[in-house]
Amino acid sequence: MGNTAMRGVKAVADDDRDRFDFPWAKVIRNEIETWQPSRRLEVNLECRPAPAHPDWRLAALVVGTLALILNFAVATRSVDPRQWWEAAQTVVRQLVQPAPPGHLSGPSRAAVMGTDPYQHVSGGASAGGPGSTASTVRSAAEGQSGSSPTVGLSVATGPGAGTNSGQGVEVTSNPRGRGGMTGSIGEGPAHASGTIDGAGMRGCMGAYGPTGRGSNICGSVNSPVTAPVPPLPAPVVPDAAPTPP
Amino acid sequence: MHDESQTRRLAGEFEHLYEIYEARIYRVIRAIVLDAAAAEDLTRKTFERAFREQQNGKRTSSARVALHRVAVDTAISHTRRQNLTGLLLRRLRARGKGAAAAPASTATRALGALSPELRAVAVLHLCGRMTSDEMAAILGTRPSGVDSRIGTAMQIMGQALNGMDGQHGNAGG
Repeated sequence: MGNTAMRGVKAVADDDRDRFDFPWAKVIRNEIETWQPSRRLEVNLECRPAPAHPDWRLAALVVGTLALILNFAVATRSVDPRQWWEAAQTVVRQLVQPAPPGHLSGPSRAAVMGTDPYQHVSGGASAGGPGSTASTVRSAAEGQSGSSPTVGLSVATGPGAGTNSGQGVEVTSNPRGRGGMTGSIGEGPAHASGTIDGAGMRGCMGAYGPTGRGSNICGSVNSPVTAPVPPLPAPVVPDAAPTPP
Repeated sequence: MHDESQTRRLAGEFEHLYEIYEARIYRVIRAIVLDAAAAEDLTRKTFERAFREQQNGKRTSSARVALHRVAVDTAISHTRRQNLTGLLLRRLRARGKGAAAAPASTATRALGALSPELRAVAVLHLCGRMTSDEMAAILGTRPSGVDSRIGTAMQIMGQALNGMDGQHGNAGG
């Protein structure tokens, strides 16, 4: 009721204003009010479920496919789908027929717990050089091995960075010339580090209190996906002993 | 979700709303799209969309405001699509081959000078008989913003009509 009264008051006020300020407004209003649909419109008022949006499924499929392709390309270091197929076969074979215990190339999982905060320092979360402050960027990262040339990049920031200390943040790509990435963050009461490369994932996180007592928890997942080994050259048969003339 | 009997009751209510608001909603949409045939189609779509919103429990305002809000949204979206299509087709179409335009009425000339958003404000102001709060709810803005837009729309329409009258007068003289 109040709304209707408000509308009535507003309509009168609008009419007054339009009559003086916009004399053409009445013409337009009268013209618009003659507009009518040419026919009776058929409106379909039936219960219909809201259409499902399959967009998220399509997006998930695309992202999953891309991730799979990228994973294969990184793991095999090749863009050849035949090599991807070989690598997938290798993984499936090793999952279906697990290697005997102690076999180094089999998939493995491990967890180590220690009471010494600096007990397990792989990956760069080690302490050292407190008091120094540095920010470094190194190419050709440390620890490269193998005869093939590799390119690496190391970025470190924070006190003691780049001097074997993990204080601050440190990220190194291609740490051992085998691709992958290693990183560490923090030093002191809470710290963490991790490495991910073609051989799997390893990581540690630890914490200790003011008395120096604490613990580290480390874990690793080894997925031995390796590039297929090229076929060996044909065996060389030594010449037969010379026959005496 | 509504069951069968509720849906039937809702459909009955909407039939009643349709009887009351069909012509008003058609006028609002036609004033925005400036096309009689498209306005009929969009009026039908407006009622169907508002019915689905009501079914899904999305409606939060009165039926009158909800219907006008859906109508304005539908008409503005249609006009934007048409403008985009027009931009693409204009390059392909040869000049002078288009259908001869019918002489525009005063309302069409005045509203044609406005953007779709200002057309919505103008038609709600001229024919909707609504409070600023209701118009703000329909347009998704604040009541103070509505008053400012009404002023802008009226000014532009006045200029458009005066300018055309001047042109016609010159041509005639």
